[in-house]
Amino acid sequence: MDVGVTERGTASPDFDAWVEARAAALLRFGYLVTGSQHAAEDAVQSALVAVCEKWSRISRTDDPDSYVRRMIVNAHISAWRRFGRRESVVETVHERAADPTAGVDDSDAVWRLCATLPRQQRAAVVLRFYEDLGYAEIAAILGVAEPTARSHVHRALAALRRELARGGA
Amino acid sequence: MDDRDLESRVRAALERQAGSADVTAPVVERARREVAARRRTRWSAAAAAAAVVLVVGGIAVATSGEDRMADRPEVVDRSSEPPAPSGRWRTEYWADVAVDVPAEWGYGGAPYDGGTACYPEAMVGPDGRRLDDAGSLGHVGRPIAVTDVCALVPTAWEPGAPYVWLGADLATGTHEYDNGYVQETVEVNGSTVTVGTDDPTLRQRILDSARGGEMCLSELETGGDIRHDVAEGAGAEPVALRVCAYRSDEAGRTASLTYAAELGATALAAYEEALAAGEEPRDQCPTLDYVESEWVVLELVDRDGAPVRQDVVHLFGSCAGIAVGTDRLLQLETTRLTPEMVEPWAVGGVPAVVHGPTGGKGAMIDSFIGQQG
Repeated sequence: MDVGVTERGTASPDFDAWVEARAAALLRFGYLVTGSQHAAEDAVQSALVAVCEKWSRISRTDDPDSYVRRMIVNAHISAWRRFGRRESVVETVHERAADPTAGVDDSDAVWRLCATLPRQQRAAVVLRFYEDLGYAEIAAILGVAEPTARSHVHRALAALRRELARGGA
Repeated sequence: MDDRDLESRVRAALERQAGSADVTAPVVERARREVAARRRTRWSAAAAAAAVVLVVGGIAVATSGEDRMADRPEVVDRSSEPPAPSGRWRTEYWADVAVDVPAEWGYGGAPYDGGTACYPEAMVGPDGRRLDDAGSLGHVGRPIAVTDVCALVPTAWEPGAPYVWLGADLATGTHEYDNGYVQETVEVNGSTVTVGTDDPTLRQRILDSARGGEMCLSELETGGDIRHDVAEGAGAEPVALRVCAYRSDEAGRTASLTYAAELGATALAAYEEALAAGEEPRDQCPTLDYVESEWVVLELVDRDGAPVRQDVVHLFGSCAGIAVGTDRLLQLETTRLTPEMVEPWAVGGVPAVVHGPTGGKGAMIDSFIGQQG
């Protein structure tokens, strides 16, 4: 991939170095947002293609990672809108079936419930509780107003609390 | 279960689930291959287009030099090094304003919506080809998002090359950047004209050139007729193709000029040839209700600059088509738009100003502003 080094006063980070350092974290993020390894790879690959082509500009923004997260979230939401795909939680359920510890069971239960959240709510939850972003940043990534971002998280937590209580967790 | 407890459980679940992701998947390599494949496709299309231009316009290149298509350079390495200043100027248009700028400058985005500019640097070259890197090339910008990467002007941005912005959402006055650039905004015929450069002579020359526009109609009523004050030469022979791009206001009642250029005989001939090979006019989307907000009016003009015929290009996705020989923007029956009909005039600033269809398999993807995000 071409290196996007600006000729301006401040040199931008080398794209190859940036992507090698961030690829694993982006795949984990994509996995949480999409709920699927395959969908995560699709979303991250699409985002990296766009970033590579625009690197000279993106590298000069304050937070290239924010731009990439937005691309990954949008790619996932757009795919659903185009093809009406429903993500499958079967993959993660099978991986966890034999795990005996209570803590793991609880994490499984919470994750299964997260996977059933509407896509924007799930993305908001991942951005808030895995990426530890503030609501202003979450709003910018989701392309919504800040109150809407807060609402997504609030509703997601309310749904999780309700379902966990129903399940006796 | 209180909020803190629930949040703690959610964090733990996400952390554990993230550990299940296969981070060895070769997404980076796949992305690299896709980028390389896209660039090969663009180069092939550009080379094919350039070859056609040179064959068709061979005589025009040698004799007139006035046809933008004939002036299009051969396909060469798209280095970020800007061309040396040629001393030539071109005129840029926005609403009822015309401004002269150095001919080698490219096209980018100007601030809108309180200072957001997407992106304030040259992203498209003077000939309409997308640039990999702006380098130190100057640009002409309009308050239109050319990309989804944006900067907040002037608080979170510093220029590295000179620029002219037409219609930017800026107050009149002067702003001085720390690097010596001075940005001056004036109002001309109801639109702002902004010049940013560290060369005061250049800045003054550009500002002094700002005047009322005279190429295309500066405003159209979307529901009305397209009427010119000059006598229309209905029997005259067209010798040039005038490109007038319009965008409607929020209410949708009027459409203002966003870009104008006049192309020579080569572009006109290529456009007419493509039209002649087109399908019969029909309603391209008879079962679809849609609202248009952008059009390109193509005026076939005679030696005096009077329109002999005007065609309206409708750009809405798969409903795109050309209404040939019309006098109004709103028209249902059109000739289906093809890449061959678009290529002759989607040059210069069009790929940085006009939103249009990508075409089957991306055939028109470099002719208009692309999909964002």
